[in-house]
Amino acid sequence: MTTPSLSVIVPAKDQQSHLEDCLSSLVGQLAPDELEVIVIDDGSADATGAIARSYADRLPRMLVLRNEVPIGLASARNQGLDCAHGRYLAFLDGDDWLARGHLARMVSAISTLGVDFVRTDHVKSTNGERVVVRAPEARRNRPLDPRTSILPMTTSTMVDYCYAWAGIFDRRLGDLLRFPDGLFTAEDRSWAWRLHLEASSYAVAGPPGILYRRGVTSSLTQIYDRRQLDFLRAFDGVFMVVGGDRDADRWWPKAARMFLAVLAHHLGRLQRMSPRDRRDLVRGAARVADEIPAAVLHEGYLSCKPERQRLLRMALGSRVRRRVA
Amino acid sequence: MKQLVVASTSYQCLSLAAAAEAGVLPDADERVLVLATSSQVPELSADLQDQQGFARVAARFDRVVDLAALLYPRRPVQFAPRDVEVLTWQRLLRSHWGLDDDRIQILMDSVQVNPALALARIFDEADLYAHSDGLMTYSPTRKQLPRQLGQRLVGLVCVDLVPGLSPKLLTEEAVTHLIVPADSVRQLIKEVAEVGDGSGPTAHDDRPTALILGQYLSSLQLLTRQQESELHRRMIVEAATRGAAVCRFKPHPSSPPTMILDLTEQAERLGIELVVDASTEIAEITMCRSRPRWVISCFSTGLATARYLLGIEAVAVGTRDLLTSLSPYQNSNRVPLVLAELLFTDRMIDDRRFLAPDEIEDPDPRLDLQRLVDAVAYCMQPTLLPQASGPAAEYLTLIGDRPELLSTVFRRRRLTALGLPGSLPQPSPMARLSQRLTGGIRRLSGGPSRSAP
Repeated sequence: MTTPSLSVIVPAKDQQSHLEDCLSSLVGQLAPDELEVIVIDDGSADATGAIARSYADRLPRMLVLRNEVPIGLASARNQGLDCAHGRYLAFLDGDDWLARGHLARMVSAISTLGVDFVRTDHVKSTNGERVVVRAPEARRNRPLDPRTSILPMTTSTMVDYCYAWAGIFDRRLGDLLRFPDGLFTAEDRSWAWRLHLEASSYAVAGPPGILYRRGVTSSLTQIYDRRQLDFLRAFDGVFMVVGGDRDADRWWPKAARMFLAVLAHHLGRLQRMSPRDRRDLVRGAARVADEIPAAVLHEGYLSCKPERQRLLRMALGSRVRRRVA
Repeated sequence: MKQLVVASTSYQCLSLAAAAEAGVLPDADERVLVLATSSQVPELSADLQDQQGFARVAARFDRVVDLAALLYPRRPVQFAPRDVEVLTWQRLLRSHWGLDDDRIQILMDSVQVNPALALARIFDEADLYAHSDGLMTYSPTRKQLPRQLGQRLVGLVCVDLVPGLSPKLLTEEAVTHLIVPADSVRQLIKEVAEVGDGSGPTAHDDRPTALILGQYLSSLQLLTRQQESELHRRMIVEAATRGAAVCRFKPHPSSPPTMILDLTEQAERLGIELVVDASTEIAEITMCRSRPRWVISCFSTGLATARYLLGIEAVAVGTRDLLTSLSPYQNSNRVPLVLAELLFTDRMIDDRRFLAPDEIEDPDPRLDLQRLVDAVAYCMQPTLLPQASGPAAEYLTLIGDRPELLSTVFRRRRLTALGLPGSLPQPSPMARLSQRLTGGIRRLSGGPSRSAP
């Protein structure tokens, strides 16, 4: 068989309500033998696998992998990468879907520009209410050095826009595309940093062709799920990548601020956690914070608003109060 | 004069084309069909202009423009330009759609909802017409139009769906009714059905077939998913009882695949052959081409189309339960439900059925559908339709001997609240006093207080 032009990796856990939209939107995006679709049924307890298999005739190069026990989004994507044959690679979550012609435009953008990867805007759809979300990089349709899209610290940049599904990637990126195994959340944080520090070229191209489905319940009203503590391990990964870079000093303030913002968000939800989760959050936060150079951590803390500082003191205490000579 | 005819569904395109063909629409130098799909997920549904037979529909207009494509990826219903921008929008749309400096007329479905409202604001000097092709035509306006819209509203274009029944929609605005004869809609349905792309079912199957029209009522929060699944099961049973050998299920275009999986299981359990119709053609075309023996649904407009436009037996299932649970009383699904209950179930008064006004020669006044619908409309929107109070009271007195009508179609508590015949007995003065005392004691003791009347 010929090499497909593109492999789309679709992890799906308990997505029977939405997977049909997702897979239907893949039909007709590229010539049937140019598009390989890899669905990872990650321990679903519903009809996800059956729905995926029912697309076999419409997506002839589809592969459905099944994990009896869920391994999480990060590892499921890696599992897809392991068996992908495409010249280019892309990710799509099982509850999202694509605009017509999206993948053809992405393949054309990456092959014309000849860059390592292309990132794109998306459409957030909350019960039919659609908002276009722009990738935070204003230079469009031209090759860029990915390192020039990381700063400044104070505004949202391409490392904050960490959506693996909003882009297309050349397979020559190899291991740079792999996600930290075992993470159930925040898996794209260190992934985005690594990509922007270590790849040599990229571009941002529109129009927005990915429909990102959001429910109405905000995360704040949900019961805290212990797996969300995975963000701590995700930042271990970010700090390892940042700390090992030749320009580490330039990136540390941004990485630290990102961590403090996410940490404060979790600390704001302490009430919804079990005592065990609370303890693990506070201990874990202190451990991860110790990876940040002390002066950077202190500066980062000082740049926060008082309400956020109050939350951070609950976990980081003396670490952030201490004066640095 | 340039006329913008805004359509959001395939059936609207068809019924408006029929209206144009019949010469019902106001005169205009140029008639432009403006496509504004209401699809939740337009990426996955066929565009209105790609529906089979669209060329036949488009031929009844001078031009077709696509508002949805202009607004994509946002949906037409989200089109809400800011006040300070509407004049700019007008200039841009005039040049984009080649409207020059001509006067504009707009025909739109939901006047109070975008994109119709947005277009009315953008073309601020345009005369407005509403159009309506379903059972909602007989429902009173949900909410009074703001004055600046009401003043500009000239007429209502509507299909004579239940023969002879007058529309209730927008009657408070004293609009002119432009009635589209059922025959012109029927002709166009036939014409489009004959074009056929072969994707839908045809009448080759000689076995008695029932077509079930799914409505996806759980998405409207009228039923839970489980209740809707049970409703579908009852529809299959109904088909089987009537002698259907095959059930064809036409799911609502936005219903999820799991609902169909449920249904297939139900049919298997009942030993009936169930075919799920996955084609994108609209129900009216499917009915016309495949000629089922029965069309079964809850209160879909398709029931009325089947019965009155295509002469197919229509069967409503589950209306009685839904009528009693539908809340509040002014829920605008009530009139379609009432019509389905009266016209498409076995509901009778003294062995006589309710019929459409044009089908009756010597009516029992209790079976006068128009008077009943007028009375229901008054009970739903008393402040909007104050002049309907007297006739409503008269009709309710007439049916005083039909408690089942008073309690399902009208609801006793609603009649009581409006002080109409059929009210619940008032509690005696002593009972009321004792209630107030108990309430007072509860409040004093810190217990739960009664909600305000």
